[in-house]
Amino acid sequence: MTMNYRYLLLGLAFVVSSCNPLENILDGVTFYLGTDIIENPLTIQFVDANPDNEGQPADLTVEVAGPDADKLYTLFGSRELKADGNVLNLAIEKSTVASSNEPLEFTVLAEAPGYLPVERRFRITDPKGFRLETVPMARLASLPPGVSRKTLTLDAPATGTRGMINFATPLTNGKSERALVSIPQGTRFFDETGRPITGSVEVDLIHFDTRQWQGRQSLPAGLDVDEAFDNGGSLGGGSFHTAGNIRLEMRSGNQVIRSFSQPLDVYIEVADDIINPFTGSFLSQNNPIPVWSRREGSRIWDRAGNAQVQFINGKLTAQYQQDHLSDWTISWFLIDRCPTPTALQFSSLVQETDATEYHMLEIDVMSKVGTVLRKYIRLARLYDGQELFLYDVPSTGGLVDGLRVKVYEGYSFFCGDDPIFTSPTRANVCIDYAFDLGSSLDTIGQSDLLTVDMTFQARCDQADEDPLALLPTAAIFFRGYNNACNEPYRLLSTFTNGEAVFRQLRAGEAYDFLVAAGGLYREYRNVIIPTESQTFDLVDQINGFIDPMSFEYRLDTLFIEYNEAEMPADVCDAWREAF
Amino acid sequence: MQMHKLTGSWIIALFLVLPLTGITQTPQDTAAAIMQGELPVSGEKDKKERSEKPQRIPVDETTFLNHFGVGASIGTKNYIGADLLINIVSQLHVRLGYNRFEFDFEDVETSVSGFTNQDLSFTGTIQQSNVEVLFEWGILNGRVRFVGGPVITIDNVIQSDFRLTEDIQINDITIPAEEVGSGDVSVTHSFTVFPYVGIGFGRSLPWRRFGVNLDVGTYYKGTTQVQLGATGLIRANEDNEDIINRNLRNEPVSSLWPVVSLRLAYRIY
Repeated sequence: MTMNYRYLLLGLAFVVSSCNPLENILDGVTFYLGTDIIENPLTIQFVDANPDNEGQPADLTVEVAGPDADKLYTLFGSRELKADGNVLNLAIEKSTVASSNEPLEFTVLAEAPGYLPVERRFRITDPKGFRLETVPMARLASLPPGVSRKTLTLDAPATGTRGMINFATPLTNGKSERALVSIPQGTRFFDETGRPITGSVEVDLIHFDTRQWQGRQSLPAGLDVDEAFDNGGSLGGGSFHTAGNIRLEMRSGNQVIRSFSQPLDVYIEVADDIINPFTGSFLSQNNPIPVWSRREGSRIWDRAGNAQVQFINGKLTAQYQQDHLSDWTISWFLIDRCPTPTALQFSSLVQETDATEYHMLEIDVMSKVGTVLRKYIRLARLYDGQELFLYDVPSTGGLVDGLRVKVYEGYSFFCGDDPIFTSPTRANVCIDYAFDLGSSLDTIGQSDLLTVDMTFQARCDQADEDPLALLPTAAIFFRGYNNACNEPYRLLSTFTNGEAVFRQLRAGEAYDFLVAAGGLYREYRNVIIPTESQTFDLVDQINGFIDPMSFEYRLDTLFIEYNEAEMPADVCDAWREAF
Repeated sequence: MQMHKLTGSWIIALFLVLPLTGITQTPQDTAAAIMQGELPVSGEKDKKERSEKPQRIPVDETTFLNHFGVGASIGTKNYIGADLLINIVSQLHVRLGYNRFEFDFEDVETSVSGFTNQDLSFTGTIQQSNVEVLFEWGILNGRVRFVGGPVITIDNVIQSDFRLTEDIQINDITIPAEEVGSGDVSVTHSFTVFPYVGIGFGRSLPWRRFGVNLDVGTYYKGTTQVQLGATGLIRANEDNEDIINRNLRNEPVSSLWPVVSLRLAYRIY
């Protein structure tokens, strides 16, 4: 048979294929399209730092910068990175290489209405793995422990303030220290071009103490420093050992005040357990503390002299003068960091194939006096041979004592639960640390965990004549339902082309589920895993979507189908156009 | 460009309707000519025969099993076919035929307008050979025949895989065509022995030595069954197999295999 005849047959078939019987034959058929085009090595959830608050930051906007920012994509291959609700999924091309020695490095600046912005540095060391990072954000209307705020309105005449104006943050949210700002009489205010600003001025002062981890974790720029400058000279990168932080903002209408005709006096009370890293002893009167101001939108800091420490009203207080507005800190800059990543190596009775649940690790860099200098929060499956890496661990002698690791069930740490494992503090933070978890993880009791085989399909327009379903390569998150605590979500499972098998749920227990994948964003609360097969509707708490989920028990496996949630049209269109 | 149909099922459809294509190929004018009597094999020869008024080979319509001929055919039931035709009595004939319908194709690239932005490459095979025992009853001196009888399947395979020929671009990511994956469609029918009914135009046992005739009819091959396979990003479309097969069961026309066959006949005796 000639080639032409073959073409004729095929061609005629195409023509005839539009007849009515064909439409009938294809009735109910959906075109399933896998989306496994990238790797998803890192997802960041931005959570409310106050566990007593309801909900999470919404309408998050992100900016990603840094040396490897151009290697990052969305889950669906777009360089235009954007968050799904409070979740930022970061993907890389499958061919991208990274390792603990040559990680991908970048910083993420996240802003959400009603929250203080945060900027954090991240590294991707395992391009084929998945890591969930959790970044607390401080909600202005309900600040977390260790953070308090003072707002006021003052009059700014053209001739300057009529008298001295003092204001201080309150001792709320469990705080024992406060910050006080004094504006001298006759102070005039200027915008960033030096133009005077007069009239009514809104003042917003926020103080972060050093005692409570929520306060330090929600610092807008964190404690890592990309570059520090002293008298114009670069000190390189490092980290801060902080004695206190403030964020002072002033504005008149839409005009933002940047500087003053004369410096403001700032007083920051200092906790009595702060160690001077250069003396190795507790901070005392007449010990100066370096003062730093942050360059807007970066993690670059400029030295602004020293704060003098004295007792005022029985509290050790650091005092300095501030001539412009930005984030300010009284901190020692620690240039000493471990030259290589510190590996945390775990040995356990649990083998990798049996390690189905995720645990939170609270990794503390401890000071000589037993206080926490730096806290790392990680979520990981823990099993025999598991290895995690810490970067830029401060190692200043006389200050740093060692590393301590605590293991929690899920993110229960955020709700004040006790750890299921606590390691001793191990000296020398720069040497790999081996932990023997022993039988700690067995205490959770994994025997009643269900083996779940779950499918995850995201539908495009249901009314479309050419129905399309995308099969996400993405993660779904969950947590135990708990009205009393706003625990962050943990990883339920990663899905490849919409399929996953996992063991993290128990029949009859109530959970919350979070779906944040490439434009699809749902939060379902109080979903009780049925003890027998059934289908019911889940109600999205955020936008009110109603999506069915079916549960079917077959043999020893629970099959869950989550196949009807509708994907935004722009995402579907991108895939349609590609084909 | 809007995607027209899902990859797997579209190709299934291709094979489901493949048999229908013969209908559009029907040379009606040829059929009309045949209705007027046997067509000559050669125009020149025909003129000579007509001018010399050659005698017809006599047909004794009252005798039994005393005339027979052979034929070769081409059409939607075969790539090439051969048969032995025996006159049973009067206008009743039996035709014992073998229809070979088998060819392979490889990397046939074609643009499928409305489906994708780029060519698809097809590689596969069609094997539908059979043997048939057809009975014919002629009217109008055998110019029109009613034909029917059983057909026995030898091969029952229609299969092709298909893949994109070019890489695709999704947002800012380029995906190699081989990572997109391929589809594989097989179509079979439930009956291994199935009936044929149809109408023939032109004498299957010509009065002269040669003749050409046309058969139009249909096989009833039982329920069409589809097997779907897929790899890569489209592999989940295997799940459509059950839906399509259910639809096929509810679509009786899918059991029919239309036949249009052009046959060159030679009368031996």
